[in-house]
Amino acid sequence: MGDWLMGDWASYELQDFLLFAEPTYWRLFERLNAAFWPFQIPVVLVLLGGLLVGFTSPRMRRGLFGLLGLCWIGAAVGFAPLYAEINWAMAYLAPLFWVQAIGMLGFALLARASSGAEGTTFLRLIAGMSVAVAAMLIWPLAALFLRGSFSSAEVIGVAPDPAAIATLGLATALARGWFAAALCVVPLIWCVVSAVSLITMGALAEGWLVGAAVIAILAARLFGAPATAGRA
Amino acid sequence: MTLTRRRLIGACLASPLFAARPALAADERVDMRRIPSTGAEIPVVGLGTWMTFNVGSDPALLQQSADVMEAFFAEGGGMIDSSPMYGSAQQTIGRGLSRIGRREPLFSADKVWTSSVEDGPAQMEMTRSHWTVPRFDLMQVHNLRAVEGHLETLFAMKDSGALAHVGVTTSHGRRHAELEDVMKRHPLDFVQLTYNVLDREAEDRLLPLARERGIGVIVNRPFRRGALIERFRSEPLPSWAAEIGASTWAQILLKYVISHPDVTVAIPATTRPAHVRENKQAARGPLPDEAFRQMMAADISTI
Repeated sequence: MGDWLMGDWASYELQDFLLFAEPTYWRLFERLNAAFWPFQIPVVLVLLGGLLVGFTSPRMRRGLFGLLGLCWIGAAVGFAPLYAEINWAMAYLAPLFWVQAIGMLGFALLARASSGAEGTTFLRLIAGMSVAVAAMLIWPLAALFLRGSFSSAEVIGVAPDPAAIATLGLATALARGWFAAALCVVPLIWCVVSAVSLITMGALAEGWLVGAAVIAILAARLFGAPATAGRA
Repeated sequence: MTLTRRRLIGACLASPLFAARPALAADERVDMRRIPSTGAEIPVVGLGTWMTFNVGSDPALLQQSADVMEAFFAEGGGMIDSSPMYGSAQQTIGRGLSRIGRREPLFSADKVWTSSVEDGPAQMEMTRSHWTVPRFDLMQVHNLRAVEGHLETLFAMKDSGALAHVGVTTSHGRRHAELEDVMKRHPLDFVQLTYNVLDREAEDRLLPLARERGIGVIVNRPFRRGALIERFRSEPLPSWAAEIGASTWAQILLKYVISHPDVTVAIPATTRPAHVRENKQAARGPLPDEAFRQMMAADISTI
């Protein structure tokens, strides 16, 4: 408060709120991956398979959301406690992971069989599915291309960014109405926080990758809105 | 033993004032400074822990921090500075101290960082338990937050012997007016502020005021958290670097800071033992005098 009154607020940069160095952040994923190995590959395969089947059948679609909900639990149980050790703000964000997981699991178990993608436009379907596939494949690959090794790969199942981005993709492609919007709230919050944190800590490429996914989803929702009057 | 004239003369001859020493040994003490309020000596290059030591429970990074501390002690040790604001840095220090089994020479410095004055003692006790030290050499009011109330607590602790020195901190050139006011009204042992070859505002009023008031100066951000080293990394070393025995930009930047006569300690942070040694080495060789420093600042500001 005193700094605002003294006019020093302008001297603050995002850098000042970052408490840890970039290598420390990627080490979190190295440790997670070491603990989670060898389950990364089956998890990604199951989810990719689910994607293929998911947009043909309403029941499979609900199952897919349920699987993604489990990925949010994985992030809440795996990533969040480790990150909270170096970033106190994570303690406030972790409950959002649980809220998201419960929402998605609830939908998977309780929703009517027919709720879902009928009426989703082609643009949203393609954009959403592409983003979801990217979350599962591009994010781990990015570790190799941007940081030189798979050891710090962000893999869906324990890492939060792929879960958030895959959720945005799936919600855009396979759901509509208020439910699709509700599914996107927490992932969007997390993506913004993550992108800003990554860019601030110096991981520019990784940060803009998250930003690009968010922009793609927002564009798909904007330009791919259904032609019929009513909700987007 | 009884004091005889022979022993007395022998002792005088053995003291640094009188001994004939080889040229290299003359560097021995140039890496120390006197704390103005007590006259005690302290190594001029200390160790910061902002960001570098916030590593949580990561076993590899905890070991790395312990290695940094071990190198620091091997090179003469001195002030290690931390704060509750620095994430898990305090615990990292405590684990490092246990891991390397060595605690000397350590001048422990931490901060009280809470807007509630009543919570200060409890926070400091938690800090102490993280460090696993019996008491602190220096406790500072972080960023002048609730400074009057916390200073009252700290001076009381000093009076009772629970604390050796009292200080306050700012950084990034913020709150200098308030800092000046606090320096004038309280018998502080130390102030901590930002000072480096590009952030020289403290030279105008604060450093002279510290000298006048007998307050030790701790310099944070000597490298702007590595940004200055990054900035000059690809530039060739200036031709005058060899004159002051600097073989890297980091040493140039650190020598600039520690050569100011009113600076007591600089606290660069690092994750590498090799950089600890490099930083400590900067204090052992020649240092620029005032004219040379002005030339350095002018020259570097054009790069």
